[in-house]
Amino acid sequence: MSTRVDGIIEVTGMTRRYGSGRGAFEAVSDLSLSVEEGELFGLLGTNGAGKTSTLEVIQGLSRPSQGTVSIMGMDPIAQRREVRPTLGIMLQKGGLPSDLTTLESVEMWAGTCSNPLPARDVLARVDLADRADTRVKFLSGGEQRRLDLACAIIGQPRVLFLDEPTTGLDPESRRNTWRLIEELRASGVTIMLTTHYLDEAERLCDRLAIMHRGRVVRSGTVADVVAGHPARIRLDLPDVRLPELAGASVDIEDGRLVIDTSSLQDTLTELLLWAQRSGVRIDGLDARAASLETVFLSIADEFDGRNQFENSKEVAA
Amino acid sequence: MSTSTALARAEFTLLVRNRVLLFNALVMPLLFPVAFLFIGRENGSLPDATVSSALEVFALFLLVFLVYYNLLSAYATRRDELVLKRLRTGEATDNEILLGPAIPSFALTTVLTIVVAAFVIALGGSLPVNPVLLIAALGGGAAMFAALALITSTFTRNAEAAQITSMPVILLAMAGTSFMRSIAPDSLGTVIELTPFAAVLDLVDLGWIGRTDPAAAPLSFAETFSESTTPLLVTTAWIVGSIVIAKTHFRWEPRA
Repeated sequence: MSTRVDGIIEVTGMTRRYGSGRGAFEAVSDLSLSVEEGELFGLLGTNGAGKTSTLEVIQGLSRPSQGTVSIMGMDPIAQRREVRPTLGIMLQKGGLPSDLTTLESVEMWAGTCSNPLPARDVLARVDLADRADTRVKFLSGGEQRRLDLACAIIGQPRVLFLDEPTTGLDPESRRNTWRLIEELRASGVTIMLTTHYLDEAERLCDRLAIMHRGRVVRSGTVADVVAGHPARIRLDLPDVRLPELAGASVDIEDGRLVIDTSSLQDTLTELLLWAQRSGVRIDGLDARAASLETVFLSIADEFDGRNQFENSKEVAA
Repeated sequence: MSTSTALARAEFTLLVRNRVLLFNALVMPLLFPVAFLFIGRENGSLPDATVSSALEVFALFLLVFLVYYNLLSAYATRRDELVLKRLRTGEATDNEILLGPAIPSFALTTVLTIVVAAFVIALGGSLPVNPVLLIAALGGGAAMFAALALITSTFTRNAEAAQITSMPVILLAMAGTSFMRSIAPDSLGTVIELTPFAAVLDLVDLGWIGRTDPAAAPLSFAETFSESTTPLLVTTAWIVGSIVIAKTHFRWEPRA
């Protein structure tokens, strides 16, 4: 029987439930998504949104409670033997024996892969060549993360899952990891990525889905997702009445004026011209186009109200 | 390199780097049996009773320390370090992941058995009456104690906790020693025969000295087979039962 394959990853009506009866918890509810071959797809969401549960089901590490999942048209559990050699998986938390060296760990992992790259080459790609003889327990958190990445890519996967790949990395390592991810995508690897870093998602993802409480609440390209969200201008302007600004709304947040506008350039120009004409000095001016962060923060606000909004701000930060 | 070989090689490296486990694996199974053999020599030869005692001590230390305790420690540690969880994301099957850590113990079991057998023969002991049963005893025993390590690891949080959680199986093994069997009341005799180590011990004795009681007359090669039915069935039952329980209860990740 042939299966029509729309995307390399297809998830339809997937629900993942833990436990049963009154104590049951639904981590993912009726989720559907499709990832095209060669695409870098981001899965974003607040803590507990269901990202990792979603990935585990797609990877075939756990069964969906309802719905179907396919990778390259195959069931990741029933056809595990065919699917696994094409996957590279970087878990959010996954260990290696602490008393093995970095090189020994990668060689061990390579030994479980059907088509591995040379271990030293992979260590060089993740900037760990000079730590080859260091035991895993002596690596920093960031180095262990890069070792995780080395294990995920050593089998030359066609589909790569990266669960928060840059958590704990310093800025330079983070950028090097981004570069490596971009190289992998350029070579045709399909990548599914979860991250808490919204700048990372904006830079890397072709398309993304934002999850909240087990459901996808926004999806599309970054431009699609951001569209319709206002740009924001913040400023300190005590005791002065602002003029009417076309297409903008004004509010006060934490003692600062906040202007939401659908046209950042027009509103900012109008504001600055007014200030110049009126001889008003504007302090603390901060103008930002709509971004994923704006969207991300507005989601919790929209679905859960103000308290959750504040919590999410901490997560995003 | 096959998956199991790669995992076994890593496990062997880890074993060599852990001095306590290495001492348990190499020194403990050899120390007492070899001492017994030297002390028990009479007029340049070894009485069957001495051979039986030395092999009993050897099998006990081999299966309890080298196979059972080492593997329990390995499974608990690998789970605690999230290594098992990671391995399950790769191409290795569950059986390969669990077999990997056991291979070094099985290999050392073979090597140490050859060493002890060589000592017995070199010091004037008789040749084994039925080597097949001897292999079945130590091979089956290793499989049985490996399976028991799998079960014990399901409720063992880490290597430190293994010192406590291993006690029931160690005591169960001790219950099957010839000393415990000699002092146990007759009513418990049949129950003790069904314990893991009692079955191994009977097979070792039948395999090397051709009888389970050194004071009795030795059996022929063929007779040892018929005599070994019960211990072989007991060993098989323990292996199958342990694997079935481990398959349904084994945990791949630490408890949340």
